[in-house]
Amino acid sequence: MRLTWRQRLMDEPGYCNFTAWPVIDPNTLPVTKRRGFLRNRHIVAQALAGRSFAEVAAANGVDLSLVSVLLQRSLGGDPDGAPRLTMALVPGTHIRPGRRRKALPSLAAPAGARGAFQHLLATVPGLQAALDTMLVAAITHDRHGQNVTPQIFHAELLRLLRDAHWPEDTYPFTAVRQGYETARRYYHRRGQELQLPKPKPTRVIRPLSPAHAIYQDIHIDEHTYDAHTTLYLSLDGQIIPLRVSRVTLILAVDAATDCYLAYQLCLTQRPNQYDLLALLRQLRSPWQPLPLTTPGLQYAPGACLPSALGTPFILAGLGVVRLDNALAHLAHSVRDFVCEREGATLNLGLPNHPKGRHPVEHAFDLAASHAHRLPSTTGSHPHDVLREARKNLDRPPTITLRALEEALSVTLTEHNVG
Amino acid sequence: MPRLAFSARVSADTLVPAETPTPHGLLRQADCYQQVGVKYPQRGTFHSYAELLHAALLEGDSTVSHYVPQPYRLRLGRRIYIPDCYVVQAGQRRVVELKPRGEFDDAMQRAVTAFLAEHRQHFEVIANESVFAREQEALNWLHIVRALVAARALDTCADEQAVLDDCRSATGITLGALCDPTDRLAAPRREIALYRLLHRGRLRASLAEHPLDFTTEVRLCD
Repeated sequence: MRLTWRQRLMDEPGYCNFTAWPVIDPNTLPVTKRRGFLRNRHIVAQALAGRSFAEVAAANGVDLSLVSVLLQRSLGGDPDGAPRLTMALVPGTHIRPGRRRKALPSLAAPAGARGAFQHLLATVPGLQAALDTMLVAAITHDRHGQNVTPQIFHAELLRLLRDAHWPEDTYPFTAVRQGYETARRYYHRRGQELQLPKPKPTRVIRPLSPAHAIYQDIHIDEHTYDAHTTLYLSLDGQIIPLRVSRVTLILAVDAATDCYLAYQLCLTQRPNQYDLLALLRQLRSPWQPLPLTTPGLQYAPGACLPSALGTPFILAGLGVVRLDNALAHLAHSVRDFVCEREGATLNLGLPNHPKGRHPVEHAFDLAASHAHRLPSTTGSHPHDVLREARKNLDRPPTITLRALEEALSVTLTEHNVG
Repeated sequence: MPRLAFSARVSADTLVPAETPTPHGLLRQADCYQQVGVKYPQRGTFHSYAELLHAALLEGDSTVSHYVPQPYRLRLGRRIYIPDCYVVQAGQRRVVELKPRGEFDDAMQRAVTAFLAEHRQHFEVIANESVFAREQEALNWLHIVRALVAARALDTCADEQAVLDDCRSATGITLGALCDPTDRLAAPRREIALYRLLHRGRLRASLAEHPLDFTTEVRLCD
């Protein structure tokens, strides 16, 4: 089925705007076609502007039917394909590919050879496939291929036709030079087509249905912080200093309410399964505010995590727990806790699609905006202008772990009442 | 052409349905879900969202007694093929493959269908879209299954009888009337009892259109 110009405009009204059509510089056209092109362009522009066809035809001194013909040429056609638009206004442009109806020229009945080569490809079984195979082998440098030139291509075409018992008194045997020229042009055009990169298969990712209730869609992820500090561990009465440069925050966010459910600060850059289990267990234990020691910090009124609100929030059933595909998340202890103990669904998500868990990624963005205010930050990337200055390398400004814990506690709980 | 050749060479080490372990690589690369079910009381792995929803619909279908995800490891020539689900429904055994638009390799489908038919099993390809069309119903059943799995050890015999009595006394009673949310001690037990009766097919609720909540109507099954 072919679309008429009216149907095209109803389906895609954007084509009514002639200024949005592709531009063809008239100076690039042959002189013989330039005048006709300018006239056609004028006619179509006026017709699309809403003037009556009779007026347009009279103003340009053409027959009334030409207005419809030009619109049909430029806008009509295959519903699945793009219309030819401005290109169709160039006089003499073939809109549809030629299709030969007459018999091919032969010695007994000479005729023109228009569309004869395409007719050959469509008529002789396996001809086009064999030619394509030869071209593909040449393009991909197949070990069983050959270096193809137009002469070789033409010779192979004739050989294939003889193998198919094509009559020797019929095209292309009767028009050697014409047949060679057509084969040469086909060789170059088809070769270019076959060299075009193939479109990669695209994966259609279905949007998730939004959760309607708290705890039904929980997003968990980790974020690393720069915290150049020293910890003092007490073991058997001995105080052992321990340098720490990175700590990791694991955060659980509820997608339906954008509420932070639990967080866990790990004194390592790479948290393991036990850190994640500690976070999951926090969902089932009441949250207690930290006694704040850092000057200037205080909790906002009512700020807390949901587990501090009472038993219903601690015993609520979990829906889907979404994690990324880090190895620590694949631990059987984590999977058992989520699936066997809580009865929830575990989803490890698609690789390289962090936006599938956008609430938790947004939470880290918020937390990072505070962490990057410290002059000892390494920033988000090696070229971040916020990263630590060289003059601080010897004596880096430090933040105590306690201060970081308290700042995070205040920031994250404040979000829940914001 | 060469694909047709494997039609006669389908084989399996065993046709006892048991979940084929999912390799770590696939678990990290695909959009995998893991869920413990009631009709499949182990941690089942589902390789797509459609498979998870399909399993939830099987849980809600009272004619289905068991299902097993990734049940067999079939050999088709040199290829390994693992179907998505094995279902026992009303005494019939089905093997199900879920595909976008229901598009599956014809030669492979013929080969697997013929092989399974020899073992009295029906092979079926289901379009993901037909499962997504019942997403709300599946999500409601997932909610019920999660609650039932989390409360496996809870004894609710007395509460089930009470729920059935309440349903007999009134037609079209709501979930909120059966489980008073203000009664914090009794409500969770009644809710689990209600879910168990729904899952066994003793009660039915309108789950197809709207999320399960306190306004959902519950009726006795005929």
